[in-house]
Amino acid sequence: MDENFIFIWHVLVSGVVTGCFYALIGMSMVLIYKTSKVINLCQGELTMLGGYVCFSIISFTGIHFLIAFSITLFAVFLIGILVERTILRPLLGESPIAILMVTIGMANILGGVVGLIWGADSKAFPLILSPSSIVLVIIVVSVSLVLIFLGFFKFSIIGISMRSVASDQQASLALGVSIKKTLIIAWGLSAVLSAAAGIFMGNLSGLNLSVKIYGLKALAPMILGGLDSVAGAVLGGFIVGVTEVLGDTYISDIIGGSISDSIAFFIIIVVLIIKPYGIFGTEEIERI
Amino acid sequence: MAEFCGHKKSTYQEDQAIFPTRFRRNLLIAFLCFTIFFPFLGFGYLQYLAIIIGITIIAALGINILTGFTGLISLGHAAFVGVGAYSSALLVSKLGFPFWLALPVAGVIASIIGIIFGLPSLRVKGLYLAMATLAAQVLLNFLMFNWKSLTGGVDGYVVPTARIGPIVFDTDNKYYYLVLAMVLIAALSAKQLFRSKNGRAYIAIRDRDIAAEVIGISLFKYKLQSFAVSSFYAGVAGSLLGHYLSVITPENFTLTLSINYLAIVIIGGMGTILGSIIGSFFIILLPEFLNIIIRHLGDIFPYLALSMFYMKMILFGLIIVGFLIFEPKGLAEIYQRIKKYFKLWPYAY
Repeated sequence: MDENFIFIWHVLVSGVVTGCFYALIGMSMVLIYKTSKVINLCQGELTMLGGYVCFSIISFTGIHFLIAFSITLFAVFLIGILVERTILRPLLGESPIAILMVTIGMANILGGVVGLIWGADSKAFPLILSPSSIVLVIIVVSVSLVLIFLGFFKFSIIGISMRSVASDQQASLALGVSIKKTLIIAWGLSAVLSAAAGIFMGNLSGLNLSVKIYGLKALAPMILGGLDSVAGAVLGGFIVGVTEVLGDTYISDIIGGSISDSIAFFIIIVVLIIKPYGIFGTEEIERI
Repeated sequence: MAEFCGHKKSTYQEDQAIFPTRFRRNLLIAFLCFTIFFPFLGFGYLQYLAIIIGITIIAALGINILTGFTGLISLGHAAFVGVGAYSSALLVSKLGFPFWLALPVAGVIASIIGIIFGLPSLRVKGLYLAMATLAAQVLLNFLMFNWKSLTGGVDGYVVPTARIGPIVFDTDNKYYYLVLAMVLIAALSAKQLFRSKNGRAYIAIRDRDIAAEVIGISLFKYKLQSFAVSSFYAGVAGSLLGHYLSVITPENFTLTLSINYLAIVIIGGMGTILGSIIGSFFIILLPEFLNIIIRHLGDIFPYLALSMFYMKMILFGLIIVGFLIFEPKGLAEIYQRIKKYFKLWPYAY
């Protein structure tokens, strides 16, 4: 094969992998936004926490990766519930500013705790597969996770109640949907999704404290897909991931600095100028 | 004849006065006297802190106008402070502007950059401005790091000393009075803003935007205006900060600082001028207290000093979360409560 072609192929695959991370984190943020109209700015910290918890379980007990993976997802589910229960519940019904700020506060707490426990130096996961097959596994697992969750929203009772809470809290309350329970499950599941992304990141390139910036960068797929569209966040995630890697490969040399952390934010601005409600987002029409 | 208890207002002038009671006026005069004589007490480091607090107050007033009074959230205030700092430095050193002109022009440049980023998101409702300003924060910071011919990148940019006519603000003492004057102007004009039509329009938008639109307030115009005013304050604060620090680097204006400014507004009290002032004192002095505590405990627990950075982070987060949950109106409200308690003290009624 042509060398140039192989290079482009590598770039694209790496873009798709980054896209998987974005899709998972973006989806978890949309999940929270849909149910509680909160933009969660501590998602990056939850991602990071998931990766570190899995790393610790593996390195302390030495059990198989898959078992550690499932234990981590369960633990992070509980952490997500804890976050909702302790800091979000008292602010139920408060202004969006207060809730956005409380997630920033939570981001600080979680980031500090992670730094306190695991320190600033990078942590590498023990290799279980060769790097190229890890990439394949990550893509397959992420895509199937995304599909499972899409089906979950579409068909399961909990998923349907989540969507009903998202569209009208009062009506769903009248129909016997417990909003508090739905919110708790949404936060738990969202933590699970982003923790999965964190674990994959750890397997691919090791963990450090800068992973948390993905929580902010994932706003780009969220806005691109439309704030309240799960499928949009997934599509947006892959678009942003590929764009980021392509941009990093071809533009960084021209500018003379790594732009991989800025492209996502550039996309946010462009989307807000061209199509503020994103690809699939519902345009808000207010009735007076 | 028996005097009635309490403060009677018989004219509209009295009702609309900025400082309605004599006690508050006297308290303000006493505080001003203290601030004027403060440099003579000869606290070296405390005076440095006082200058930083003053500059922070100006920036915090700006973000309070946006977040506390208009109900919009900005995660990019530090970037606009940075734009102010760099543009003032460049205007003075490259274009030969006098400092007194560069200061407001830096504010104007910051608000123009702010408008460029805020314009698209202010057309739509919701938390879009938060995300647009977050993007602005990252992108502007990226530019500061990488546009090396203009900003000097990580090495920093040397800012010339501020001078107005024959006065050169080269010592802390002189700069202290400059900042004090600017803080007074900034606080009084913010106070005045909310007695005017425009300021009231901001408050109406915050309280219920649909109702505000129905009574004829153009949401887009006033939101944009509020954002521009807020960025102007940021730019002025940045200019003052740049000329004081004399070397500015992009690290001075990161997302952390933006979050700090938001925390000031939350902790001080959203939608009060007093809140921005108290909050600035709190946020600047808190790490200093922590440093003192940790320095004393550090000998006993050496691990503590190593993990201080993370401890500060956790504490900072806990304070934000705690204030939002338990004291959502901030320190200004606590001050009001104490005042109310002592007004009737020692009788409960």
